[in-house]
Amino acid sequence: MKTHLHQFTAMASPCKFILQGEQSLILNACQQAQAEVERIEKKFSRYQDNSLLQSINKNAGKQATKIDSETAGLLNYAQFCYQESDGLFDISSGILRQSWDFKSNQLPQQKTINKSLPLISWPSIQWDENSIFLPQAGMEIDFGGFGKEYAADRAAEICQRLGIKHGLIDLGGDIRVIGDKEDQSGWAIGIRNPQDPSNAISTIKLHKGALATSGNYERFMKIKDKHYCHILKATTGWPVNYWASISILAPQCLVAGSLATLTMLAEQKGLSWLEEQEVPFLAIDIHGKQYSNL
Amino acid sequence: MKKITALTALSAAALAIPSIAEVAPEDREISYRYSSYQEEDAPRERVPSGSLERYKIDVHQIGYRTPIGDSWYLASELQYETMSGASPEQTYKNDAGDSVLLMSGASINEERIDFKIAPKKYFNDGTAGGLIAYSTENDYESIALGLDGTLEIYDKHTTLIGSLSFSDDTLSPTDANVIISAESNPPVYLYPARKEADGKKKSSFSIYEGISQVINKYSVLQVGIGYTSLSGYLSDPYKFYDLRPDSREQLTLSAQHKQFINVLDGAAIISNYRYYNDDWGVSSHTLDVKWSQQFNISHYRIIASPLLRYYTQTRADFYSLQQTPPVDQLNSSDSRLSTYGAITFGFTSELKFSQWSLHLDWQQYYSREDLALFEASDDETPALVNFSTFTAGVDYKF
Repeated sequence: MKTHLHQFTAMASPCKFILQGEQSLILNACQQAQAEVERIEKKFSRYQDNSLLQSINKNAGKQATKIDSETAGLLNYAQFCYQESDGLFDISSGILRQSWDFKSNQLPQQKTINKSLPLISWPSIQWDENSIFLPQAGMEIDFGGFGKEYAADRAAEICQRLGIKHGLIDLGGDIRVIGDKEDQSGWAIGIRNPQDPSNAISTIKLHKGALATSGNYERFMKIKDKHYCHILKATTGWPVNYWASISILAPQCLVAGSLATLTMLAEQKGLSWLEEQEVPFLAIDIHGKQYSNL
Repeated sequence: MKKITALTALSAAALAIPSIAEVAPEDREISYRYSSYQEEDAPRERVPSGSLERYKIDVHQIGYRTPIGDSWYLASELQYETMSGASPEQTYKNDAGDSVLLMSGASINEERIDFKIAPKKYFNDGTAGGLIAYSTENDYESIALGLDGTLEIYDKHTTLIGSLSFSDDTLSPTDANVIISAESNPPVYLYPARKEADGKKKSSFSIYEGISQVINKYSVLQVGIGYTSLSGYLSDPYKFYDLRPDSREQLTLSAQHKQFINVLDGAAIISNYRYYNDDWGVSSHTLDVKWSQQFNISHYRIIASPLLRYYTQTRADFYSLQQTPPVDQLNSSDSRLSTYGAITFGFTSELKFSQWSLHLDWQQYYSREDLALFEASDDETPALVNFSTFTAGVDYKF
């Protein structure tokens, strides 16, 4: 039985599928699963013109936009993330990107952030199964907080449906197992060392489910020895600074990713919250101290 | 942070996102095809006069397909054809037992324009579509309407397929009103059969029911039954002594099997069988096999498919090679109504990369009386034709 590696770039990340099985099934699965990832990217991209997400944002303050059941399902999911994080995770917080430029090595002015904050308001957004309306012009939403994880789950489901029994989907580090390795030895997955992200701090064997990591090393700047990362609290507009990385194992990549992000957002309260979830995790704080139940 | 477990809440919310049903295609696509159809010349030794040059047809086709809203997809196609060449007017057996083929004298030059539009609606477990087609050329006009649908059942392993279509055609043969003797009353027309056909109608009604069953992950079987009823003016006004019944009922039974196999980068064998029978006495069997082979070379995908087809039919009851049959007797010497067999060799190829797809296809068709499997006769049918088609095309998705 061959192991096949399929690589491409999507959602601004290196993507790979590692599949085992018969060649004809694998090639078909790779094409269809890649097409699914690209479909989701195209539909929910905030950069691509004519994406559904762009229409929703362009209609802010003007009119409601019709949505399909998949989008409504994702909005419902976003609602739970908002509730579970006490408002720290808000899919309308993408507007803060206008204030935070991590390449500039300059902190934004508080008054710039203050201008964005009134536009971050998930509770003010009116949505149901068929439509969504952002009440103020300038408001925007995006699924950047969990789109890649969602796509990994969908791609894995497509592979399963097409007869693939052994393999994994890796979309820029968000991993969903389709099925254990042929010899049942588990897929060896390295977890990045936040201090030195090109090397692994730990390796785990994944037999099923998904692994997602949220880290402060993905996009950040260091000013006066203080670390400012891309994970911003929707309530204040400022970055979190307690955890260096959180890795979570869960049946679905979407859930693993959100739990990781929510833990990052919860800062010092994150550890006890995470323990209540009873999921396998590896948490590393900014001083390099590890907490794990793996 | 709340004390209820987020894991449970989020997992439930994640599972509530609907899984993808049959989704409408989301890409727009524009395509162009050029096809050249070329018939071989008629055999000189059987054609006493007229042109030996048979049809040559050039076809340009532009297609545009686009999603409309979330669940509709619209396909449209415009086709322009030019045709030149001569056609058989009659075949008869002479006293020596040889068949004589009379060809039309002048080479014709004709144009045809076809327009088709087909909207399709995608539901969770099926599709519903429509079709409107219009075709016009200087001696023929046709309008067709269709409806089709699919329904997926048993966890999408079984698909029911159905379609209905109607067409309404009007004939207006060229030179139908040319009079050779103006003095006589009633006037004598140069081509009485064309005059007779001028303005006549022909209509059809078709229904198809099929079922497609996934047998396992490597094979799919589809079987179907189709019925077509034609009525109106069904004779060919350009042929001599061509008088056909004014109705025709056709039945087809068909089966298709697709088998995926592990050869190189994946392959499929697609086999089709079709049985046809009508109340004119024509029955036929068609068997074809296509090997579709895939190759992946870096970012390019090539699908190369050789194909082989065999066809055999028995003649219509009123097919005859009489030189001068009684004018009111059902009769035709059209080779397409004779007993014959045909073999087609072909090759289709597709090269895909990023949003582009290039196509090159070629087919060679041979038909002969002695390729018939059933009821073969010694009568020669010199009007049977050999032809080749060549197609080049490009698709672009955006």
